[in-house]
Amino acid sequence: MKKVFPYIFILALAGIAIGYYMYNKPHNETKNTNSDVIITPADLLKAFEADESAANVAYLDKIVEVEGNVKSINILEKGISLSLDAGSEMSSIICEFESADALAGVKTGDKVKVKGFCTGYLTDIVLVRCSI
Amino acid sequence: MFFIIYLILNIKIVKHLIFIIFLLFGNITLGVSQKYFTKTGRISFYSDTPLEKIEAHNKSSNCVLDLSTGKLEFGVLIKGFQFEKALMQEHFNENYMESSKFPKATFKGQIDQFSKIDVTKNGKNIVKVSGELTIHGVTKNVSTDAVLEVINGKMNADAVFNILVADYNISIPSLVKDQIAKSVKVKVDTTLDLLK
Repeated sequence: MKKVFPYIFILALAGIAIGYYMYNKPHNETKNTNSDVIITPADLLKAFEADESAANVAYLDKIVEVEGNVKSINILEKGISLSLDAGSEMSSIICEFESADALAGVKTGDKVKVKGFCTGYLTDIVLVRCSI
Repeated sequence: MFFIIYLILNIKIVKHLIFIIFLLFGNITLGVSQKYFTKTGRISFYSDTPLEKIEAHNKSSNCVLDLSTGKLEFGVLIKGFQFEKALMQEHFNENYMESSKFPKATFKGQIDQFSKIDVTKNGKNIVKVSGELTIHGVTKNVSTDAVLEVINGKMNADAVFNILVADYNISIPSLVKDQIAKSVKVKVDTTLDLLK
């Protein structure tokens, strides 16, 4: 019986370590991750306008990469976001960045390539945790 | 000769008339459809228990306020809420909110006695808002106090209210029931621009 104790102890320690790691596991990042989908802003908007539930199945939680012109830059309380022109007056692709430094040097009208997790469609399509 | 002068005068009068009608009509349609809106509204929620404090923030919520009626609408994407801990965000989306099935939360409501507020004048107004809040596919009537502050043609619309998790058919496993509050505080913090 005495021989088993060290093993139980090691197992318990490993369990605590795994639990602690899981609790603190980092967010998935988009920066060094391959995109799941590469699409133009206009096609992405069209997909959601045509059939929102089908587009939800196809794009939600996926890393979507879009390349387009910056329509506007919005400075937020925490972080920053930009709107990419999707060929529509009302709708665009909103890309949220966690840190305001992410868009240093980017101006309205610039052509940029952005990837982020697609969260869905309100009047705009929103990508979060973006990288450029 | 006189006939030609008469004709020219007439055309001028008609032109003026058209201009005046256009002006009047244009103003009327402008008055009817004037709206405040934003696409970068901030909505946060806070779950406080002695064991764990959880908060999450969404930076891209939509809000539209119709100035002629005082009707107010919000839309927010559930997957857009950012948590500090990735695991919490995962559980929130997959287990509690089922955000792939219910990607949005919406609010459609009305500001009480909105006509009494002068939106052209700078100042703070405390108002009562009531309407239908839809979360997790369940719609409930809610009402709350809110602050509307007009600052140089923009409007800050802020509110804080509590909702009961159980009201929206969100089941929390008993294993973590002490970590997650039964009543969650929701904070709305938006700056609206005039829609042109």
